Amino acid sequence: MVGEQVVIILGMGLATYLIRIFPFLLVPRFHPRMIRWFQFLSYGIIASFVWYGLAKGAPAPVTLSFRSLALALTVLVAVRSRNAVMGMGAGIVAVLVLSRIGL
Amino acid sequence: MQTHEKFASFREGARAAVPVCFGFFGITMALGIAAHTAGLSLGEGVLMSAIVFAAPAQFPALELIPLGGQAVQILVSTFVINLRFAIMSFTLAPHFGRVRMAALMPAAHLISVSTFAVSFLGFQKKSVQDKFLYFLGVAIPSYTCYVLGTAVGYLFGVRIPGGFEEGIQFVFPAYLSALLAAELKERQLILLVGVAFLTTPVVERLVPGWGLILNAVIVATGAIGVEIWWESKS
Repeated sequence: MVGEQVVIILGMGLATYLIRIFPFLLVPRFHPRMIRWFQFLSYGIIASFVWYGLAKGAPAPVTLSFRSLALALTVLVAVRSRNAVMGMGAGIVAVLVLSRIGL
Repeated sequence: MQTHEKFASFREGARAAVPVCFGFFGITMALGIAAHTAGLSLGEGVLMSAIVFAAPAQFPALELIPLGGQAVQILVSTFVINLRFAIMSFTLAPHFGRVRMAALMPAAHLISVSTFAVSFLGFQKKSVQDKFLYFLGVAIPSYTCYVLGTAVGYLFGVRIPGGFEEGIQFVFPAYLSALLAAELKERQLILLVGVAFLTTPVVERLVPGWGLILNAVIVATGAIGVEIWWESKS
Protein backbone atom coordinates (compact mmCIF):
# COMPACT_ATOMS: atom_id res chain seq x y z
CA MET A 1 0.00 0.00 0.00
CA VAL A 2 1.29 3.43 -0.96
CA GLY A 3 1.87 5.74 2.01
CA GLU A 4 0.45 9.24 2.43
CA GLN A 5 3.85 10.82 1.79
CA VAL A 6 4.17 9.11 -1.60
CA VAL A 7 0.64 10.22 -2.55
CA ILE A 8 1.55 13.82 -1.65
CA ILE A 9 4.77 13.61 -3.70
CA LEU A 10 2.90 12.16 -6.70
CA GLY A 11 0.28 14.93 -6.38
CA MET A 12 3.01 17.58 -6.28
CA GLY A 13 4.60 16.04 -9.38
CA LEU A 14 1.29 15.93 -11.26
CA ALA A 15 0.36 19.53 -10.36
CA THR A 16 3.78 20.79 -11.47
CA TYR A 17 3.78 18.75 -14.67
CA LEU A 18 0.34 20.01 -15.72
CA ILE A 19 1.56 23.60 -15.33
CA ARG A 20 4.63 22.85 -17.46
CA ILE A 21 2.86 21.00 -20.28
CA PHE A 22 -0.36 23.07 -20.50
CA PRO A 23 1.08 25.88 -22.68
CA PHE A 24 2.44 23.32 -25.19
CA LEU A 25 -0.98 21.65 -25.46
CA LEU A 26 -2.52 24.92 -26.54
CA VAL A 27 -0.35 24.73 -29.69
CA PRO A 28 0.19 28.47 -29.57
CA ARG A 29 0.36 30.47 -32.77
CA PHE A 30 1.49 33.86 -31.63
CA HIS A 31 1.39 37.21 -33.35
CA PRO A 32 4.96 38.56 -33.90
CA ARG A 33 4.23 41.28 -31.33
CA MET A 34 3.33 38.62 -28.78
CA ILE A 35 6.58 36.77 -29.50
CA ARG A 36 8.45 40.04 -28.98
CA TRP A 37 6.61 40.45 -25.64
CA PHE A 38 7.68 36.95 -24.62
CA GLN A 39 11.27 37.85 -25.54
CA PHE A 40 11.07 40.92 -23.27
CA LEU A 41 9.43 38.82 -20.58
CA SER A 42 12.21 36.23 -20.72
CA TYR A 43 14.95 38.81 -20.31
CA GLY A 44 12.92 40.38 -17.49
CA ILE A 45 12.66 37.05 -15.67
CA ILE A 46 16.39 36.38 -16.09
CA ALA A 47 17.30 39.86 -14.77
CA SER A 48 14.96 39.40 -11.79
CA PHE A 49 16.44 35.99 -11.17
CA VAL A 50 19.93 37.51 -10.99
CA TRP A 51 18.65 39.88 -8.31
CA TYR A 52 17.13 36.98 -6.35
CA GLY A 53 20.41 35.08 -6.56
CA LEU A 54 22.23 38.13 -5.30
CA ALA A 55 19.89 38.76 -2.37
CA LYS A 56 19.21 35.10 -1.45
CA GLY A 57 20.41 34.21 2.02
CA ALA A 58 22.19 37.54 2.47
CA PRO A 59 22.13 37.82 6.27
CA ALA A 60 23.29 41.43 6.36
CA PRO A 61 23.65 44.40 3.98
CA VAL A 62 27.41 43.83 4.01
CA THR A 63 26.92 40.43 2.33
CA LEU A 64 24.81 42.07 -0.36
CA SER A 65 27.43 44.77 -0.85
CA PHE A 66 30.31 42.38 -1.55
CA ARG A 67 28.06 40.27 -3.77
CA SER A 68 27.16 43.47 -5.67
CA LEU A 69 30.85 44.32 -6.10
CA ALA A 70 31.53 40.80 -7.36
CA LEU A 71 28.56 41.05 -9.74
CA ALA A 72 29.90 44.33 -11.14
CA LEU A 73 33.27 42.65 -11.75
CA THR A 74 31.51 39.66 -13.39
CA VAL A 75 29.70 41.96 -15.83
CA LEU A 76 32.83 44.00 -16.54
CA VAL A 77 35.01 40.96 -17.31
CA ALA A 78 32.25 39.34 -19.41
CA VAL A 79 31.75 42.51 -21.46
CA ARG A 80 35.49 43.07 -22.00
CA SER A 81 36.31 39.45 -22.80
CA ARG A 82 32.97 38.57 -24.49
CA ASN A 83 33.31 35.31 -22.56
CA ALA A 84 30.62 34.36 -20.03
CA VAL A 85 32.63 31.64 -18.30
CA MET A 86 35.57 33.99 -17.75
CA GLY A 87 33.20 36.61 -16.29
CA MET A 88 31.63 34.02 -14.01
CA GLY A 89 35.04 32.80 -12.85
CA ALA A 90 36.17 36.34 -12.02
CA GLY A 91 32.97 36.95 -10.07
CA ILE A 92 33.24 33.74 -8.03
CA VAL A 93 36.88 34.40 -7.15
CA ALA A 94 35.92 37.96 -6.16
CA VAL A 95 33.03 36.84 -3.95
CA LEU A 96 35.24 34.26 -2.19
CA VAL A 97 38.03 36.79 -1.58
CA LEU A 98 35.67 39.58 -0.49
CA SER A 99 33.74 37.30 1.88
CA ARG A 100 37.03 36.19 3.48
CA ILE A 101 38.26 39.71 4.08
CA GLY A 102 34.76 40.74 5.22
CA LEU A 103 34.20 43.67 2.89
CA MET B 1 19.96 19.24 -40.94
CA GLN B 2 22.76 16.66 -40.59
CA THR B 3 22.84 14.37 -37.55
CA HIS B 4 26.23 15.67 -36.44
CA GLU B 5 24.93 19.27 -36.59
CA LYS B 6 22.02 18.28 -34.35
CA PHE B 7 24.37 16.55 -31.95
CA ALA B 8 26.54 19.69 -31.90
CA SER B 9 23.53 21.63 -30.57
CA PHE B 10 23.06 19.06 -27.81
CA ARG B 11 26.77 19.20 -26.93
CA GLU B 12 26.74 23.01 -26.87
CA GLY B 13 23.76 22.87 -24.50
CA ALA B 14 25.53 20.34 -22.29
CA ARG B 15 28.57 22.62 -22.04
CA ALA B 16 26.32 25.51 -21.01
CA ALA B 17 24.81 23.26 -18.32
CA VAL B 18 28.06 22.82 -16.36
CA PRO B 19 27.58 25.90 -14.10
CA VAL B 20 23.90 24.94 -13.64
CA CYS B 21 25.04 21.52 -12.37
CA PHE B 22 27.32 23.16 -9.78
CA GLY B 23 24.50 25.41 -8.61
CA PHE B 24 22.00 22.54 -8.52
CA PHE B 25 24.34 20.30 -6.53
CA GLY B 26 24.60 22.95 -3.82
CA ILE B 27 20.81 23.37 -3.61
CA THR B 28 19.82 19.71 -3.86
CA MET B 29 22.29 18.44 -1.29
CA ALA B 30 20.41 20.74 1.11
CA LEU B 31 17.15 19.24 -0.21
CA GLY B 32 18.45 15.73 0.52
CA ILE B 33 19.35 16.75 4.07
CA ALA B 34 15.90 18.37 4.51
CA ALA B 35 14.19 15.19 3.19
CA HIS B 36 16.15 13.09 5.69
CA THR B 37 15.23 15.45 8.53
CA ALA B 38 11.55 15.38 7.48
CA GLY B 39 11.52 11.60 7.91
CA LEU B 40 11.25 10.66 4.24
CA SER B 41 12.98 7.50 3.01
CA LEU B 42 15.80 7.84 0.47
CA GLY B 43 13.43 6.62 -2.26
CA GLU B 44 10.79 9.20 -1.32
CA GLY B 45 13.33 12.04 -1.19
CA VAL B 46 14.76 11.13 -4.59
CA LEU B 47 11.25 10.56 -6.01
CA MET B 48 10.24 14.05 -4.93
CA SER B 49 13.22 15.64 -6.67
CA ALA B 50 12.73 13.47 -9.75
CA ILE B 51 9.04 14.18 -10.31
CA VAL B 52 8.68 17.70 -8.90
CA PHE B 53 12.07 19.19 -9.97
CA ALA B 54 11.32 22.53 -8.31
CA ALA B 55 13.26 23.31 -5.13
CA PRO B 56 11.19 26.40 -4.13
CA ALA B 57 8.11 24.14 -3.87
CA GLN B 58 9.96 21.20 -2.31
CA PHE B 59 11.47 23.04 0.68
CA PRO B 60 8.07 24.23 2.07
CA ALA B 61 6.58 20.76 1.45
CA LEU B 62 9.42 19.18 3.45
CA GLU B 63 8.59 21.53 6.32
CA LEU B 64 4.90 20.56 6.24
CA ILE B 65 5.08 16.78 5.64
CA PRO B 66 6.25 15.89 9.19
CA LEU B 67 3.22 17.74 10.64
CA GLY B 68 0.81 15.29 8.95
CA GLY B 69 -2.61 16.07 7.47
CA GLN B 70 -1.20 18.88 5.33
CA ALA B 71 -1.78 17.30 1.90
CA VAL B 72 -4.17 19.96 0.58
CA GLN B 73 -2.00 22.84 1.76
CA ILE B 74 1.11 21.25 0.23
CA LEU B 75 -0.60 20.65 -3.12
CA VAL B 76 -2.11 24.15 -3.31
CA SER B 77 1.20 25.82 -2.37
CA THR B 78 3.06 23.64 -4.90
CA PHE B 79 0.61 24.69 -7.61
CA VAL B 80 0.84 28.39 -6.78
CA ILE B 81 4.64 28.44 -6.35
CA ASN B 82 5.14 26.59 -9.63
CA LEU B 83 2.73 28.68 -11.73
CA ARG B 84 5.76 30.55 -13.04
CA PHE B 85 6.60 27.49 -15.16
CA ALA B 86 3.53 28.18 -17.33
CA ILE B 87 5.03 31.48 -18.49
CA MET B 88 8.36 29.77 -19.21
CA SER B 89 6.59 27.05 -21.24
CA PHE B 90 4.64 29.71 -23.16
CA THR B 91 7.94 31.45 -23.93
CA LEU B 92 9.70 28.29 -25.06
CA ALA B 93 6.77 26.98 -27.12
CA PRO B 94 7.38 29.16 -30.23
CA HIS B 95 11.02 27.98 -30.30
CA PHE B 96 9.90 24.33 -30.39
CA GLY B 97 7.33 24.88 -33.15
CA ARG B 98 8.10 21.80 -35.24
CA VAL B 99 8.83 19.38 -32.42
CA ARG B 100 6.32 16.55 -32.07
CA MET B 101 4.15 16.36 -28.98
CA ALA B 102 5.55 12.90 -28.16
CA ALA B 103 8.97 14.53 -27.69
CA LEU B 104 7.64 17.66 -25.99
CA MET B 105 5.71 15.76 -23.31
CA PRO B 106 8.73 14.32 -21.47
CA ALA B 107 10.87 17.39 -22.25
CA ALA B 108 8.36 19.77 -20.61
CA HIS B 109 9.12 18.14 -17.28
CA LEU B 110 12.71 19.46 -17.50
CA ILE B 111 11.71 23.14 -17.48
CA SER B 112 13.03 25.00 -14.46
CA VAL B 113 14.09 28.63 -13.99
CA SER B 114 17.72 27.62 -14.57
CA THR B 115 17.23 25.37 -17.61
CA PHE B 116 14.84 27.93 -19.10
CA ALA B 117 17.16 30.91 -18.57
CA VAL B 118 20.31 29.23 -19.92
CA SER B 119 18.44 27.73 -22.91
CA PHE B 120 16.71 30.97 -23.79
CA LEU B 121 20.01 32.89 -23.78
CA GLY B 122 21.59 30.10 -25.86
CA PHE B 123 18.78 30.35 -28.44
CA GLN B 124 19.98 33.86 -29.29
CA LYS B 125 23.28 32.46 -30.63
CA LYS B 126 23.56 31.78 -34.34
CA SER B 127 25.60 28.65 -33.67
CA VAL B 128 22.59 26.87 -32.14
CA GLN B 129 21.04 25.00 -35.08
CA ASP B 130 18.48 22.89 -33.23
CA LYS B 131 16.93 24.70 -30.29
CA PHE B 132 15.10 21.68 -28.94
CA LEU B 133 18.27 19.59 -28.79
CA TYR B 134 20.12 22.53 -27.25
CA PHE B 135 17.42 22.68 -24.56
CA LEU B 136 17.78 18.92 -23.95
CA GLY B 137 21.55 19.37 -23.77
CA VAL B 138 21.08 21.93 -21.00
CA ALA B 139 18.22 20.18 -19.24
CA ILE B 140 19.20 16.49 -19.12
CA PRO B 141 22.58 16.95 -17.33
CA SER B 142 21.04 19.63 -15.06
CA TYR B 143 18.17 17.31 -14.11
CA THR B 144 20.60 14.43 -13.50
CA CYS B 145 22.70 16.63 -11.18
CA TYR B 146 19.53 17.72 -9.39
CA VAL B 147 18.39 14.17 -8.63
CA LEU B 148 21.90 12.89 -7.82
CA GLY B 149 22.54 15.86 -5.52
CA THR B 150 19.42 14.99 -3.53
CA ALA B 151 20.61 11.41 -3.06
CA VAL B 152 24.13 12.52 -2.06
CA GLY B 153 22.71 15.05 0.44
CA TYR B 154 20.37 12.41 1.89
CA LEU B 155 22.96 9.63 2.16
CA PHE B 156 25.99 11.56 3.33
CA GLY B 157 24.47 14.72 4.80
CA VAL B 158 27.19 16.54 2.93
CA ARG B 159 27.42 20.20 3.59
CA ILE B 160 29.51 22.58 1.55
CA PRO B 161 32.66 23.50 3.52
CA GLY B 162 32.46 26.85 5.28
CA GLY B 163 33.91 29.65 3.21
CA PHE B 164 32.83 28.06 -0.07
CA GLU B 165 29.08 28.51 0.47
CA GLU B 166 29.26 32.08 -0.79
CA GLY B 167 31.01 30.93 -3.96
CA ILE B 168 28.48 28.16 -4.65
CA GLN B 169 25.52 30.49 -4.02
CA PHE B 170 27.03 33.00 -6.40
CA VAL B 171 27.57 30.54 -9.30
CA PHE B 172 24.17 30.92 -10.90
CA PRO B 173 23.61 34.70 -10.64
CA ALA B 174 27.20 35.18 -11.84
CA TYR B 175 26.68 32.83 -14.78
CA LEU B 176 23.42 34.45 -15.87
CA SER B 177 24.73 38.00 -15.54
CA ALA B 178 27.91 37.05 -17.42
CA LEU B 179 25.84 35.44 -20.19
CA LEU B 180 23.71 38.57 -20.44
CA ALA B 181 26.77 40.82 -20.44
CA ALA B 182 28.64 38.77 -23.04
CA GLU B 183 25.77 38.14 -25.43
CA LEU B 184 23.40 41.12 -25.27
CA LYS B 185 23.92 43.66 -28.03
CA GLU B 186 20.47 45.16 -28.70
CA ARG B 187 20.15 48.46 -26.83
CA GLN B 188 16.47 48.04 -25.92
CA LEU B 189 17.20 44.65 -24.35
CA ILE B 190 20.18 45.98 -22.37
CA LEU B 191 17.97 48.78 -21.03
CA LEU B 192 15.16 46.34 -20.25
CA VAL B 193 17.51 44.02 -18.33
CA GLY B 194 18.86 46.95 -16.30
CA VAL B 195 15.37 48.23 -15.45
CA ALA B 196 14.07 44.75 -14.57
CA PHE B 197 17.06 44.11 -12.29
CA LEU B 198 16.60 47.40 -10.43
CA THR B 199 12.82 47.20 -10.05
CA THR B 200 12.70 43.59 -8.79
CA PRO B 201 13.32 44.47 -5.09
CA VAL B 202 10.61 47.15 -5.27
CA VAL B 203 7.98 44.79 -6.70
CA GLU B 204 9.09 41.99 -4.36
CA ARG B 205 8.59 44.31 -1.40
CA LEU B 206 5.11 45.33 -2.62
CA VAL B 207 3.98 41.78 -3.49
CA PRO B 208 6.20 39.35 -1.53
CA GLY B 209 6.82 36.05 -3.29
CA TRP B 210 5.69 37.29 -6.71
CA GLY B 211 8.50 39.73 -7.56
CA LEU B 212 10.13 37.45 -10.14
CA ILE B 213 7.16 37.03 -12.49
CA LEU B 214 5.16 40.16 -11.72
CA ASN B 215 8.15 42.45 -12.20
CA ALA B 216 9.03 40.78 -15.50
CA VAL B 217 5.41 41.08 -16.74
CA ILE B 218 5.26 44.79 -15.82
CA VAL B 219 8.63 45.60 -17.40
CA ALA B 220 7.94 43.56 -20.57
CA THR B 221 4.51 45.14 -21.02
CA GLY B 222 5.99 48.61 -20.48
CA ALA B 223 8.75 47.88 -23.00
CA ILE B 224 6.35 46.62 -25.67
CA GLY B 225 4.19 49.73 -25.09
CA VAL B 226 7.21 52.00 -25.57
CA GLU B 227 8.20 50.07 -28.71
CA ILE B 228 4.71 50.43 -30.24
CA TRP B 229 4.65 54.15 -29.37
CA TRP B 230 8.14 54.63 -30.85
CA GLU B 231 7.21 52.85 -34.08
CA SER B 232 4.00 54.84 -34.49
CA LYS B 233 5.94 58.06 -33.91
CA SER B 234 8.63 57.32 -36.47
